Amino acid sequence: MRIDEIIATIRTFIRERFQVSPTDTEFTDDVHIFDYGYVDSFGAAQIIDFIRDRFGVVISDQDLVLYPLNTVREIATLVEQRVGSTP
Amino acid sequence: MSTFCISLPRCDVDYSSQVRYAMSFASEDIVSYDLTESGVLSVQLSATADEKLVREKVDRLLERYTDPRFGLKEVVHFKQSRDLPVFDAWTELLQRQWVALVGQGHVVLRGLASRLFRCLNAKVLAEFAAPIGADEEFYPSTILCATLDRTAHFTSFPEHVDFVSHLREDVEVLAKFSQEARGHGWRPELHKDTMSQVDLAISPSACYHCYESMQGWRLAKPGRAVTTIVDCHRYEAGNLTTMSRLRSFHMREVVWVGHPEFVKSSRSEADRLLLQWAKDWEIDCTFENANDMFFTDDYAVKASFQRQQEAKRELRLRIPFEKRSISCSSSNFHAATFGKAFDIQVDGRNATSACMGWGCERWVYAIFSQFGLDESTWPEGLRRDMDRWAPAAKGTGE
Repeated sequence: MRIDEIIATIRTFIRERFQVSPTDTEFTDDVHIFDYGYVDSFGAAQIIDFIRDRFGVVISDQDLVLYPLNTVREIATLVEQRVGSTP
Repeated sequence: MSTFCISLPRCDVDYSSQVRYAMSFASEDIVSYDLTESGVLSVQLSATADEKLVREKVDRLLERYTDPRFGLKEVVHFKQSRDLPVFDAWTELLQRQWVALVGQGHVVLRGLASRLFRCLNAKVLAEFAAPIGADEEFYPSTILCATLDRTAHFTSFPEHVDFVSHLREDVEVLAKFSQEARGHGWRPELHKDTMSQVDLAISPSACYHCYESMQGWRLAKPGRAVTTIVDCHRYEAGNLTTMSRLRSFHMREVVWVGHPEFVKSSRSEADRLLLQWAKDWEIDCTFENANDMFFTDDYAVKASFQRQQEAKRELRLRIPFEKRSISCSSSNFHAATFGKAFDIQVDGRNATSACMGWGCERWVYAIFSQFGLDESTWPEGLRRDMDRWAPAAKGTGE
């Protein structure tokens, strides 16, 4: 799966699950989804569950410490590495 | 009376302090408990306690803090050490009558303790609030339970809320209470079946009224800053000791509400000013990533996320006599939690918020603990600020 497809999938999930307004121009692939209030602690757990169910990728606590996973692009990059696809 | 022991899986400082704090709320049948440095928890029970039941409660509590799915990210942003004498400031302050104990966890400050309190407040107003044009606001000391519910306070910290109630509006109840008090003096039993339902609590934090009072606001970008001081209450069960942890204390806060970039940059600047303060006063301290003592079964996910996002940083001042440090100031980022809860928007989106808090009595206690009661021997920067913000009045006898 290509990185842009992964980004689009995660972006759509966050938009729908966390009710991001379609007119919100600040919701980009590089916005800090926690600092900007799109997702909270329980939302983070939901994203981790979604990544596991949709891509079969397990994000561990160690990953959360080691990698910046605060934007759609950062999350998608880790998923891409784990599923072993190439762009 | 019986005792049981549990060998804990970890004995690091973070874990031990969480367990120590939480154990005070585990069961009313626990008379006392002790946690050794090697991680052995011994629990002493009352004569009527059901040991199996208490053991289950303790096990359930411990499980919260050992969830293997989550970890606590540790970051120390700043550390300043001093060679400090070991000094029992608490006993000395009581003897000097600069602090009077008027109930468990309730203190009166006077003399030099009062001046130090005044200095702290004036310094925050002058150096943190005024330069950014923060509005000074004054709030009630009580808060609606419905408001605490909207802030999700009850789902994170149910154990420390001091609820407020009053006698029922019933002439017989009121007359009987009054007669009993006149005849035999007040005693707790007089409240049995005489109290009205609870709809208020004493504010556990200073900034909730800020968000509540901004309900429905549409802010101009980038947002606004506010400062306030509130007499806060937190019930701490057996954790009340010295002035390190009080039930009634004053919290000075600076609060930012607005666009994320404004709130984040304001918080960063306040962090910088706080560290400059610590350097100027030559305080033995650390400024580090931290988490709240969430007292619910979802502790692990909340604490881990809070640490991961560096949503809370604490300035911890060392108390040599107690062989530990206490959090005297905290820098907190709430993202859009309160913007959503109270429909506060900026530039068409939910406002984010952050705050920095100063636990005034803790600061006072920590300063005395580190530098003693003789003001003339304090670090130069501290003395300079005392002279500037809280000069001694003539004839005070301090």
